[in-house]
Amino acid sequence: MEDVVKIENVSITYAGDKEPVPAVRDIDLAVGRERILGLVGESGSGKSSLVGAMLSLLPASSRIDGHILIDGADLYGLTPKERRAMRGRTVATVSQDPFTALNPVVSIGRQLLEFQHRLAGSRREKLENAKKMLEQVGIADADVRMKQYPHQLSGGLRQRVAIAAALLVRPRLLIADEPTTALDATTEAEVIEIIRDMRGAVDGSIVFVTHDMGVVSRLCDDVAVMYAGELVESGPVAEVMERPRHPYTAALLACDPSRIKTTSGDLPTIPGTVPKPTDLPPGCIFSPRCPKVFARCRREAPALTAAGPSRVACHLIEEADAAA
Amino acid sequence: MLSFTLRQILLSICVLVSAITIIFCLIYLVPGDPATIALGPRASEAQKVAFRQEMGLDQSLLVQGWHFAGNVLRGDLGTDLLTRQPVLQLVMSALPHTAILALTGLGWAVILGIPLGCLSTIKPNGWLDRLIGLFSTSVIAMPAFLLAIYALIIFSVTLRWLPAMGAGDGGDLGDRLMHLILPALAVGLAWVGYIARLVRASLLETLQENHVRTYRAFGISNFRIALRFALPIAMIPVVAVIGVGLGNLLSGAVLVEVVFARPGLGSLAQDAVVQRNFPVLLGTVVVTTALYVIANFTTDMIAALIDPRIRKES
Amino acid sequence: MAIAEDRAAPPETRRPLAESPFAKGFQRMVSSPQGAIAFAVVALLVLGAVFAPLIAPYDPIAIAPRIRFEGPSWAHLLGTDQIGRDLFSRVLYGARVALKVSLFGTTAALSLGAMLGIIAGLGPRWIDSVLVIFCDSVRSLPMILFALAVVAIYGPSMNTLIGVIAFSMAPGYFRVVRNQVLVLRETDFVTAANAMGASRLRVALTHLVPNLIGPLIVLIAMDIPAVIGIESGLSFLGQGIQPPDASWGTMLSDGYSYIRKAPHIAVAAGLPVIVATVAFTFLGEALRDVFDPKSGKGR
Repeated sequence: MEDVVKIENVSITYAGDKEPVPAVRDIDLAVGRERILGLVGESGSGKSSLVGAMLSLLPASSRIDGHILIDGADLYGLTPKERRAMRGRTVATVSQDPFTALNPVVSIGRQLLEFQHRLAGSRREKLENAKKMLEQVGIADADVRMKQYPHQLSGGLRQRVAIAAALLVRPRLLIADEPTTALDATTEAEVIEIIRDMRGAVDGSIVFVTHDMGVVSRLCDDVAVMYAGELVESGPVAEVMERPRHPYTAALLACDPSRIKTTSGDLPTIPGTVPKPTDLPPGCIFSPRCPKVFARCRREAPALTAAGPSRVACHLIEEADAAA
Repeated sequence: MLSFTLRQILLSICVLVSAITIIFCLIYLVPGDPATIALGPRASEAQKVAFRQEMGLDQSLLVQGWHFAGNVLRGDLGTDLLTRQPVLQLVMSALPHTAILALTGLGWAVILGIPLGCLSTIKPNGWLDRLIGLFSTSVIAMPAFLLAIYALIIFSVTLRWLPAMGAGDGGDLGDRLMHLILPALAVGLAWVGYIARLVRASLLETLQENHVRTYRAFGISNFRIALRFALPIAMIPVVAVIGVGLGNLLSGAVLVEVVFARPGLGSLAQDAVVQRNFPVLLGTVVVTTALYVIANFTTDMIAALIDPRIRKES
Repeated sequence: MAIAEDRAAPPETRRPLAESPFAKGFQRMVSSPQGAIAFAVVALLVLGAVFAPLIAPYDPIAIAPRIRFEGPSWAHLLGTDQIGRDLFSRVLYGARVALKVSLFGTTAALSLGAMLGIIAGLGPRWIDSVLVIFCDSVRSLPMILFALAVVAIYGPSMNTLIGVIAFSMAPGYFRVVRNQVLVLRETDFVTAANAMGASRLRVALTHLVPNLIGPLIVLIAMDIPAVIGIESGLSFLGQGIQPPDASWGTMLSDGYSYIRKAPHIAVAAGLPVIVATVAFTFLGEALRDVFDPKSGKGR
């Protein structure tokens, strides 16, 4: 199976005020054709930086090592111009905040027209396509909406418009960057529903960024869990949900309210905080917060190793293998 | 939009009424005898009596205020003490000269200032930005009449390229334009810097907004994003601030007119001061105040037209 | 994450040598070449004005018919005017007038604006609305024409000039003070102080003043060029400082009268106006960088 996205040994370093900030370190990840990958992590996990790198929207002061191949093209082997040519055609994105993602003084229709600038076709055809796409993502009076301005639409409607915009260009890779974080629960459910319905419109794959394991289990095929700039576990959703092998993944799942079965007064939380990229612990990055930490974890960083259909970066895997 | 418009109109009327009240207080609440103060100590008793009657000073303050307000509302700004012409007519015939000068000055400032502001944002704090910033900050506070005098010395007296005095022959458009170049240059130069800086600051702020990232993610060029999609948003506060600054523009134009001996409000007011021709002087103040309020209202409405969000607020 | 991100600010390399906030602020102000030059020029102007009687080589109003219309020379750095007065000496004395009007004008505007601003901010809503409209209407008066009308009534003098400037410029200070009062009024510690029975005025003074000093100093520095412009403009029209007193405006008026015969008079009289307005503008910019680093990008 051909991978739409291949991320090979990618590290992202920001210039920083005093010292370089290694926000993402040595990530290896692939997104298969017509798969939806859930990219999970807390804030500060480096998932936004990774998304920025895939969109080639990172600030000029950042350094990207390794390779990001999208549809076979090595993104950072291309010229900036060629890279830009991929945006809005091969890659499209739905951003986090629907309230600010659209230009406030330009009508919806005009913006949807603009987003199709890389496609062939007349202005009228493009407007017609935009209208059809709005209808497909469940916007009833598309004609009216096309003439309206973003502020006249609710958050949910605006996010539908943003999804329609991304789907309009029929990208090979759709990156949904926490598209539901700013929305209430009902709207969130609707938006997830739309993405699930519309996955056929994407002629490739979807990367869905979120910090919510519940959303991943409802929508995604694969999941990749990031922590403090590193990939700690990845694999098929069913497998990871059933058998979380990394203690961090397990902790994340335990924190997901929808999965809590026993009634209890307080929500489970992970004690401690995510380490700063400039102040990483020795050994395993999760060791200071890990409930199953042992001596080796504090000395030696675990490598990403295969465990069943998943890949996990944890010494427990090797220990278990050795015991078996 | 309707409620927004109505509110703006109401506000403008309040400001205008209040401004006219200030002007009224200025004349009628002067300590001492206004007639003596206005006409000077050498005026004869008969002149003073005539002046009091002319200005209605022999009546009670309230009556005076009432008359003053009523007259202003009817467009009656009194009569010229010397020529006996209605003041409104005098002011209105001088006004176009000043308006043309002010608008030409503003016009070239806008045409040059907006591109300069945009150029600054290509590489913020780069050498081009610093250069434009240095220029803008330098010219921004230079008094227009001083620039006019310098322009006169350089281009008319020394180089003899352009005519020095007057507004040109009435029928000859080319001649009038030649006479307009230097004054407009002087009136507008500070505004080039002012607008360039406003546009720069506003555009930089807009370019930080999230929708710009959306457009970049769709591969739309930075150039097109900045000019087609960010600049209109950036212009909203700029237009509003230009409105507030129109008073300065007018003050600059008034003084520049005197320097170039052009007809207009400046010469009218200057002559009125010298001749102690009070109704004319106050007439120019009242009319320009009204003009400023209207212009401010207009810029607010333009800002609202660009920005659908303002229209929505009620 | 936008285009503007490419403007990564250069890393802070300056290290504070002094500890007091004043010294630190001063260091920041003169840390840019523009700020340093502006400060130096303003300092020179102030020194020149204060010590004018000591520095000036000639009596600024002494008439010398034999040396009329002389161009610049070593004896007369900027030349002489139509009645043989030394222009350099007159420029120095003119600086006294310009700075005096600037100082008194802005101080009076500040006092008036601050008083109204505190009343508007702490008083009931209707007073606030009335004052806001009042200040808007003052701003809408055409400054030069209004000043001419006032001068026509009260007669041209420095006091009239300062009065007009104070009245016309007060709305700027009113706005700053009022907005700050309204902001602080909502914050917790003012509410707490109120609850503890401190009088409103006391609260206003003890909590507001530290928050207002920065913006107000910047505003004053920014207003001084405008004041200099108005002073010289009105004096140019013959309605400000009266001859034979030396002011840059009256000198410009003299120079204007002889613009063909002796343009050096107008050039000499205009130079200090340009130097002063530009220097104060850059000083204001530098001060804003000190007090409000976030907005200080407007170089």
